Amino acid sequence: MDRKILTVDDSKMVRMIVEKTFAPYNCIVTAASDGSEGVEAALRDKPDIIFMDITMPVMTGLEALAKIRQTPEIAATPVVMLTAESDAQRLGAADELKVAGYISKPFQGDQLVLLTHKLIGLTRKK
Amino acid sequence: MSDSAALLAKFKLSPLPENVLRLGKLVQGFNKHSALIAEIILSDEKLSKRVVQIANRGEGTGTKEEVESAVLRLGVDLINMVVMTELIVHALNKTFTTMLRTPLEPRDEISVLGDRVWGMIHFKGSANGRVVIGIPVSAAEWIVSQFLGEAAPEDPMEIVQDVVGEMLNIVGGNFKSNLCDAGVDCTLSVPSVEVREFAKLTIGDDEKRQTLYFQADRLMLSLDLLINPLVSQK
Repeated sequence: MDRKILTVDDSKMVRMIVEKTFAPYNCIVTAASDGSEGVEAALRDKPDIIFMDITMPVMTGLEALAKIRQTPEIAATPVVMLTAESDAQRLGAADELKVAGYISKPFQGDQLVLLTHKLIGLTRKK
Repeated sequence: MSDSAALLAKFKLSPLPENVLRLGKLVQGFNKHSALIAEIILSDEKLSKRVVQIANRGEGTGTKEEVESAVLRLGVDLINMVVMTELIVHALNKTFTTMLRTPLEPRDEISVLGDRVWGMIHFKGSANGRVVIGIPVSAAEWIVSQFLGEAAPEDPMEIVQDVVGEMLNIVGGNFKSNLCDAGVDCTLSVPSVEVREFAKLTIGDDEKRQTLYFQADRLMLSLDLLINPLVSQK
C-alpha cells in the first residue's frame, strides 16, 4: 500500500528534494508551503507522516504542529521537524509537542528514508 | 548532562566544537575572563593563528604571547568577530559538505565575471549583523543540478534564487542555533535574494566586515559577515 507523505516547507528546493528522495518508494508525496497550508493538507490527505520546517511565513512549523496535536482526526500523525534551527529552545518546544523526530538541515535524503522506514515502514517500487 | 545536550542526544544531532561554545559564553564577560579566552584560543592552532593575524594585519604565527597580546589589544568586539566567523564558516562547511558532498576550500580571492546570485540574511538581538553570500549564476545552476538531477525546472532563475535563499537559510539557521547555544540570543530575518553583478551593501560606521572566499570543484562563493558592536548581555 502506498504511504502518504506530506512535506511542509516554504522552500521549493526542499519540497522537490523530498519528492525526489521518495520517488523510488511506494509512496505519494504531497506538499504545502507554509504551516497553515500544511494543517489544511494534513486534514484533507491524512498523511502517514509529515516533514515540517519551522521558520515559514503565515504560520510557523511549531504553531502548525500545535494545531495538528489539537485536532483529533490528525493528532496522532507522526511529525518530523526538518529545519535549520536546532537550538535548545526549539528542540525543547518540539519535544513538548511530541515530535517523532528532528532532522537538522543540512540533511541527506537517506536520513529521511531511514527515519520514515523506522516510523511507518517503506517498500521500494518494483 | 544539560537539557541542551540531552535533547541533542535524543534527536541524534551533533553539537558545536566545545572551544567555540566556551568562547561565545566567555565573550559576554570579557574583562573578567580575558586570560581564559586567550587560553581557549590557544587550544586551537588555527584559531590562534587567525586571531593573531587579524590583530597584526596578516602577521604572526599564533604563539602564546601573540595571542594574549591580541586578546587584550583587540578587545571584545574583535574576539566576537572571530567567534562569529568560526560559527558561520562551520555552518557553511557543514551545509555544503552534507548537502552537496562538496567540502569548501578557503581562497584568498575568487575571480568572477558577470552576474551573481546574492543572498542576505539579518540576525538581530544580543548580536546584530548580516550574512551575505554571493554565488556566480553558473555555480548556482550547478548546485540546482546537483540537488534536482536531470529534472529541468520550469523557471530556472526562480529555482536558482530559491536554492540560494534556502542554502543561506540553512547556513543562517545553523549559525543562529550555535549562537543561541553559546548564550547569544538572536532572531533571523527571512533571506532576501537578488541577481546582479555586485552586492548592494551599505556598511554602517560601527559595522565590522569580514569577507571570505571559498571554492570547490565548479563552485565558488564569497561570504561577507557584517556585525555591529556586541550588545551588553543581561
